Amino acid sequence: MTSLKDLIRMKPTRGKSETGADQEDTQTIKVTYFQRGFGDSKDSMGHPSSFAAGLADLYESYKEKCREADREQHLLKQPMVEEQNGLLTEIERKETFLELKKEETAKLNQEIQGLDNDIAEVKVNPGKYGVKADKRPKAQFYIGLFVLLPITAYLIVFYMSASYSAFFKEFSTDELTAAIFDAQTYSKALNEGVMELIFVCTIPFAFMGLGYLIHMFQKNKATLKIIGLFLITFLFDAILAYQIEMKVYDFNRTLNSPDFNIEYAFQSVAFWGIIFAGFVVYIIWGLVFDFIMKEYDNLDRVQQYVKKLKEDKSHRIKRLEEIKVSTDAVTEEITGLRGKARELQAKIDGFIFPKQKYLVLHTRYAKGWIKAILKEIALPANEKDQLIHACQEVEKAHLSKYGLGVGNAESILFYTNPDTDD
Amino acid sequence: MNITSEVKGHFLRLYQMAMTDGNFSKAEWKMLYEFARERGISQSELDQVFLSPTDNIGIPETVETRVEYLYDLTRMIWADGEVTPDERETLIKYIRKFQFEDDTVVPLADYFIQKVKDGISKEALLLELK
Repeated sequence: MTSLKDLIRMKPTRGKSETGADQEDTQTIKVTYFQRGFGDSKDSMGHPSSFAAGLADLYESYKEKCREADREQHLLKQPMVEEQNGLLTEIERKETFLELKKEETAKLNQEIQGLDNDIAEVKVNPGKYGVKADKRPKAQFYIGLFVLLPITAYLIVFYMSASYSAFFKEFSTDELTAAIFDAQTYSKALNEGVMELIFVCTIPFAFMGLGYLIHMFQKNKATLKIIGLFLITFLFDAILAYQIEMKVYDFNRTLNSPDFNIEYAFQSVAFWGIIFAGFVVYIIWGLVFDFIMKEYDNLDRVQQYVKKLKEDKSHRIKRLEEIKVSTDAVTEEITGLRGKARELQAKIDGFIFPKQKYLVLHTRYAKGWIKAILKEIALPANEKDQLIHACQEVEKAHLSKYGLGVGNAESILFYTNPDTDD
Repeated sequence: MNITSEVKGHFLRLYQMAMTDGNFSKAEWKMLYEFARERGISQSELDQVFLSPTDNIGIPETVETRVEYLYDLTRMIWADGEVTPDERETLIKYIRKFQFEDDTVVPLADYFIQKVKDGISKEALLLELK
């Protein structure tokens, strides 16, 4: 392979080309115009009206000569041509930018449409998007909730009543039938005192708390803890049932009756009735609660995914808005640049009158004119002064008429403004 | 290939040059834009250069710096593991723009591409100039 050193060869730097060969002999031209002024003045006896006509002729002929001098016009217009080329490149670049943004907008719109489809479909077919959730988590969640609410109400009523019966109730004959469920629990507990009421009202939540813990432990696959919780709840229920059964027994006992004990409680139907009315329903509550929490998780996973898709969509919408702002601004800029380019084109199509160059020749001509008055025309000195003064006035009027007397601009541009065209 | 911030910076300058150079066509501007976007240069940076390129971005002064810029461009081209004909043309265009002799432009482009493919570092390449 050739070495890098062999390949690295630079082009020689070019120096500036000389333009001396093309330079006009301005000095000769100056002399020519002086002589022309001198001759014209001599021929017309320095008359101001002839001077005015001479200056007008000089101006028009020079202007015509400039109009026809293509090469010089080309040189004079070169900066404008370069400026216009720059503008056209800028317009083209901005148009390319608009094209790029148009493509990006189409792509973003397509992506937004895709995201909308995904948002609709992930709820129906989450597996397609790698979301581990049932297809109909919403329905199952609401069915579970529908079942859980009445069971919760049952548990609250049952445990309020059972705990009141176990801890506070004094049994009398008419209340034996309501040993477990007492419809007056709330008002009776209130009569007993505020603390009793609070105790009775809050104890169902202890059981629900245990149910919630079962769900959490199940989530973490803590089987031993779950068994432990079931045992505690069963024990608590058994204590409540034992208390109630004992109170009923004590109320009915005779002098010969033995003391109430666990053996007796185990043989009592009412004892087991209390346990099952509470504990079994509690287990059902726990299972339903666990089920709807899982469904909620499913629902949440889908929702999370939908949220992410919506965020992606909103980023794209934001980007579309940014693009809209920038493209609107660029479109406006292009309009402005096109206006400038059009104006420049009109100037390029017009012609440039080299004012300062003309003024040099004009001055030479006027000097020649005055010189002839002073040297060649036989008039008294005061009349010569008047004539010169009149010629100077004519010169001022001429310069003013063609806008040559004011400003230091190098040249005057003659063109038709495109914005005023019909 | 990992595109460092220095490589990106060099590319952005080359990109600016293309934006102000009348010799680059619309299609080339678009190609460079997509090329850079795919290589992780942010769209906002590219848009900014597109809309307000700094004028008078001259070509680097020394031969070493020119080689450095061109080699970084080649590294960016090779970032996706292939050199498309358009990308090769762009590299050739930049080499020409950097005032290398006409007869060395194409061999130089192929030389850079081969060196990048061979995994030669910029530093090792620059040592060859010494």
